[in-house]
Amino acid sequence: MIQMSALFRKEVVESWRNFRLMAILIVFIIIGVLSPFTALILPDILGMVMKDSGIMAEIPDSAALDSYTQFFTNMNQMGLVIFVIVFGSILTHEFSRNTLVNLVTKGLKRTNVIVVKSVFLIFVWTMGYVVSALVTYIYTLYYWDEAVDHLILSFTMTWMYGLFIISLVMFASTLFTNSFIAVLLSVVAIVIMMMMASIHPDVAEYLPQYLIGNNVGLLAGEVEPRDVLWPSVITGGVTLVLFLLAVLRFRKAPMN
Amino acid sequence: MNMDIQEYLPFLIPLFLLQLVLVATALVMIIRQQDFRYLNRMAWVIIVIILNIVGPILYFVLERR
Repeated sequence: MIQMSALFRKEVVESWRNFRLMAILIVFIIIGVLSPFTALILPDILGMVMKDSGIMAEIPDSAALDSYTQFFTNMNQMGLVIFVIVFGSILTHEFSRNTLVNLVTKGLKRTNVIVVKSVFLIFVWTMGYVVSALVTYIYTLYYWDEAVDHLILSFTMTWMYGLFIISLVMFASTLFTNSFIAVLLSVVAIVIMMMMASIHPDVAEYLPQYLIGNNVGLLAGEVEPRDVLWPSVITGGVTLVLFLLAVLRFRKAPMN
Repeated sequence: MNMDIQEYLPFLIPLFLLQLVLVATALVMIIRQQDFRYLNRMAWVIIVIILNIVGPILYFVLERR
């Protein structure tokens, strides 16, 4: 336990000193502010463009749903990618700089290392995501004040997908040890494979990808909560298995 | 383009401040840093100023380890 808390503090201090923690928080808050802003100005911009080109059409005013649509688009595409790029090297850079060798030979348990690193990533992701979601929520409440269905479940789905990506990063890191590029590529490859698999509608309903594809559908009431039960269970299960595999594999990983 | 800017200030001010923090921190770090892994000081300053959000993030990821 002492080892774990010391390691955790080390991670926090490290990411604070090289400003990554702050940078990711700022990016997430920017996403939180940008999403309702985009939803608010989009009708105006469209209106101007249409007036210039002489098209006459009614543009519906934006609603709370548009704000959340923007949020989920930004978060699922930009937010997650930036998070993986900024924090994906958390384990690989220890390998490439050989900074773990001394600690491990002096009695630091390997399991503690990987568990603390995973917990730290989960902690950063949860914190950033909650702040971002809250900012969007407050702006949306202030500017539109409309009720949408299943808001919390919808937010939770992207959060779960983030956990899944983190477990993927940790497992890939233990496989490729010192190459961050390999980790990045394997995460991208798996996401692309899931996208291709979800072309088939029967398969799509069970993939983690379903979670981030249906946030808005859930809000709009097109998708029922029980439809996302299976993908949630499967994502949770796969995430746990990947974390477990990462721990097992890390115990045997070569450190030279 | 006389869309009421006032109405958008609650968005624009936080966006501007957050970007400012990112860029300012990156610039201070660049000026203090002696050895660069990739590129040089001038190139990083230009990248950080021109590419908003992405520029500082790139700097933090590539140069700060």
